[in-house]
Amino acid sequence: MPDPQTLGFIPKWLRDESFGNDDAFLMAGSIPDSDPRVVTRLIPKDHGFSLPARTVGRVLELKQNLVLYAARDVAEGYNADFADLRSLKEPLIRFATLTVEPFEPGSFVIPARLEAAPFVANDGEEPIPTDRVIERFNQLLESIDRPNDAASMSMGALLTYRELSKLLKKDIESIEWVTIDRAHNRAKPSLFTPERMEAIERLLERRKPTANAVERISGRLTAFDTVTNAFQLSVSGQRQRIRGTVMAFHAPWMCERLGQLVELEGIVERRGAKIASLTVHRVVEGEDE
Amino acid sequence: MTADLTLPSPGPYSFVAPFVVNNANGTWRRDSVPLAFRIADEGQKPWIQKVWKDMRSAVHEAHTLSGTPVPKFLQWQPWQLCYEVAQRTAGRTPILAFAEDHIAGYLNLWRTQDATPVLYIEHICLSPGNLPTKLWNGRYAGLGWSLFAFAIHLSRENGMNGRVGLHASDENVLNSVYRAYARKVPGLFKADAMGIAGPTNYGPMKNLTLTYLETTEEGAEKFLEGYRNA
Repeated sequence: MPDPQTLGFIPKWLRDESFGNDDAFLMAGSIPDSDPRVVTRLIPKDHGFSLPARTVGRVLELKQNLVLYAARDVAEGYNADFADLRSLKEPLIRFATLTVEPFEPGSFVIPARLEAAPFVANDGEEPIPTDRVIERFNQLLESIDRPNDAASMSMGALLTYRELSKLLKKDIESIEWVTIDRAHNRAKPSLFTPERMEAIERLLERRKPTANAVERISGRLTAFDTVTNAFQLSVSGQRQRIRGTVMAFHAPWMCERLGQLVELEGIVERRGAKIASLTVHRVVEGEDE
Repeated sequence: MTADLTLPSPGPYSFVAPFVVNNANGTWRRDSVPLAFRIADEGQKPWIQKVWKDMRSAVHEAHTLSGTPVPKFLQWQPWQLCYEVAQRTAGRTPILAFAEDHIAGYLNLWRTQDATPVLYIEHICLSPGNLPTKLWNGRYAGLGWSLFAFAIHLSRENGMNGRVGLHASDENVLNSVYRAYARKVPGLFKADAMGIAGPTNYGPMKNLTLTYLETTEEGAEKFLEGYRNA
């Protein structure tokens, strides 16, 4: 008995076509663009197949926070001291809110996308697409290994990384981040491991206020470079002159006092009993010769 | 979902998924099963978000494990296209084609806003299950022809007289697919055009470098007649 589903009907145009011609997959248009994404892959410790709900929730929360810090950088400019997400305005929060998509089956691969329309930070300015947030998010990830670039990273983002590192100590072996842009290009994955988190700690260490005592040094200003703001100071009791730097805004003051006795306040670096260098924080006004 | 196009009944036409049968005597013949078309609304979501997506994931993982290059169709993620907010509100009508109650293909259609509107096919493609891979073989042969014929039928039944526009996805498709259609029905398309933007308002325009084809009303009618089964 023939299968009742089959029709036996062959469209006219195929009747004399040779067998075995494969159809093309995509016959019209180009692969469509998509919302930019941040995909997180969690690897449980000891090849486990489960994670505490609190841990998964915490990772999602911290991922969202990192995206908010990235969005804030893009919309309002870099501020290394910024750490309070509560101060963000509601439109910016909506713009940078991730939408989590269904997890990949059998894994802790968690895709999330930024689906908001471009954000206008200030009237008359060019709208900011969510792609810029993803771009900045990638920069934040990369700058963990580049201390100079990390100088612009907000304190809040650094502390968020530290919070992630706590999760690595407990339940998670590693966290992988990968971003996918609107044209489906995948960025190089960034892997968070306990080793990588040590780099975070080093960055945080650099942000700590110095514990060195500020000292006041008097001497004759013998040289000053207006390009590098470097100076040389001759002090009594030491044959070798002290090298040092001042802030750019001290430069006019220094130029005026070239060859004179000055008093400078800052961090002193010594070699043995001798002063090797001086990083000036303050010039002492009104006590010049 | 914005769907300003209505799905017509097939009428006197048979839109089918043709396949090749190996006869007992060693010869080959064609047969077919009917196609059914449904708007890709919430009710159809699992076909895209589970079946299609998992087939794609399986092929992707297999290629990753074997270290072989992944085929182009793995970039295609229609579960995003159908349901992302920006897509849903953009005026598209996404349609799924089913054969034997299983997903077989996908069309993404617009009615252009010109004075003489055209049914613009933003995308027309086959389900991963109908593509030859290292894991499975293609099931149907000539399905794309039927999807295109259905688009013409839909254009006619929605007041566009069979006018259908599209950008061939690449040179290979232009030559192997649409030139083959035009060989069967001379005058099916107007002259090739380049630098024509699609009506998409989502994302950067990529279609300007693709060849734009548009059917003539007469050619479209003749192509559709090849599907008359009554």
